[in-house]
Amino acid sequence: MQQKGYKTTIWRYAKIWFLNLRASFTRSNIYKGEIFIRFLRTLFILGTQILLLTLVFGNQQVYVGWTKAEAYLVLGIWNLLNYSGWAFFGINLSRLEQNILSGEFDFVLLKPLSSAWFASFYDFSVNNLISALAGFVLIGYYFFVERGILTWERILLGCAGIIVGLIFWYAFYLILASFGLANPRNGFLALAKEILGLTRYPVNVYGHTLQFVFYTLIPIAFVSTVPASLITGKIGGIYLIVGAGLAILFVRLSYWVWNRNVKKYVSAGG
Amino acid sequence: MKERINQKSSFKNILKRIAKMFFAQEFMHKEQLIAWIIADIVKIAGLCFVWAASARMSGSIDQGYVITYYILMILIGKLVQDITPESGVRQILNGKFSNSLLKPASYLIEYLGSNLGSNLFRLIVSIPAFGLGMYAAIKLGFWVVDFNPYLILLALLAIVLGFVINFLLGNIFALLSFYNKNMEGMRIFYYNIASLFAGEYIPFVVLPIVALFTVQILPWRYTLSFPIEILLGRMTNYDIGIGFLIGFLWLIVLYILYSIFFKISIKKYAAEGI
Repeated sequence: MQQKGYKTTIWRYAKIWFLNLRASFTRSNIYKGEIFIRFLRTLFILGTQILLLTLVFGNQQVYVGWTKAEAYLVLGIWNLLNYSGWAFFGINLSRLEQNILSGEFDFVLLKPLSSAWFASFYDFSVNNLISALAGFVLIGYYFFVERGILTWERILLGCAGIIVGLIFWYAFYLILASFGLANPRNGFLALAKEILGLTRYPVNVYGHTLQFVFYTLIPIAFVSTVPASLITGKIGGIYLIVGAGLAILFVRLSYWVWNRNVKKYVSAGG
Repeated sequence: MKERINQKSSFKNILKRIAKMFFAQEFMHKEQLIAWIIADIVKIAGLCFVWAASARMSGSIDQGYVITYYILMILIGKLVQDITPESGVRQILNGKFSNSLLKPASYLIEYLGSNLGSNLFRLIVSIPAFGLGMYAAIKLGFWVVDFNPYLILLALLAIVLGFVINFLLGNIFALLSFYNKNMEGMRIFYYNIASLFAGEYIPFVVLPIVALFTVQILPWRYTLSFPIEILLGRMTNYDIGIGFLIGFLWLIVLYILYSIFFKISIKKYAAEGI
């Protein structure tokens, strides 16, 4: 007898995600001390980043073509994407390897949902979202300093750029995490984390050759430098269109790589 | 009495065997470890670019100094690394710490052996990246270390001192898991603090006097930056002497702190395992 078919519409995914979100908030209430530690850590991160940028700038007004407020903006966008990325999908993809080794990933494949989606979004980390506050503070600082020259058009372009950056972040993580299905304990996710960590500074820091690589082969420039450049008005909307196209391509690629690796999954864990 | 003497003499063998075992264990997952080390190199290279660009633009610090500082970090970082905040905490939380308490040797021997085995493997894997970085720096005229045997000897002593301080700090931190069962946030926070004050994010040469004094009296400087600073050859004999003095004082203080904290904390251990 054929199993009753499930309509896997976008609403079904949204409903499942909200149910998981509610469960995550309930779980986060168990360890209230953890929330306090995360707040402290957020303040520490903020202090460290401000100190680092202050020392990097020294007496200079401009560093690799960016003013201090603009550099804060890049760092703020990076904080926002990094910590919200961890909250939404990073935490789940980092647990993927453990689920594969323990054999729990088999249950993910049995669910009438996209396995890539479920493996990425089944849990939500409230604790990591707290650290994203550091991003809002730094972005807020830029908006405050430049309030006189900011336009709504630039803000909207920048917000769209940040969403594109988050999509890039997700696709990059998913591609490298999926190799764990075929070959667990490969350490690729740590590599993804550090490569994306390079985007906490404007890509102009890395010289012309690497800049070219970061706009083409490994397009991590679209994570923080491009959204920040859209807000500051250094570049036009064409970069957003190119970025959005590349992001869609990257997500398609990540799901393709995921499916290829699922075929190599041998369910030997447990 | 005889048994006790035999136990003492076997500690060395236990340490050697555990170190060998961890080396073999790390070798088993060599792909993962190589990826971790590449990730570490990517992080260090990123910081190297940031500070080199800052040095080039401001001219207040020597570009060669900063680049050599981070290249040396690739190697020295592996030698002073301590995995106790992860493995030690995990053992206490999952209850496996009970096994260590039943063994004839102190559990610190086991942890020390695991660190030595793990660090040795990480060091071997990092050598090609270090060599490549050094070769590129020499070719571009950014290498500032002149391989003075006296400084190398002092740096090796500082590395041993730094590792032991880091090991004690890690073990004191691990004892916190007797009190708190969710250590994830605290562990990440601890690493953030240790990385900043060890000189990973910011080379101490760029710090203003007050901040420099603060990091010099804290223990973390001696776990990474101090051996690198010695090798870079810009420190006077007086500064090196003061550095060793503060480092050894911290060693004694941390050992006493660890002993007292362990005696108090072990009473809290319920071996429940979660």
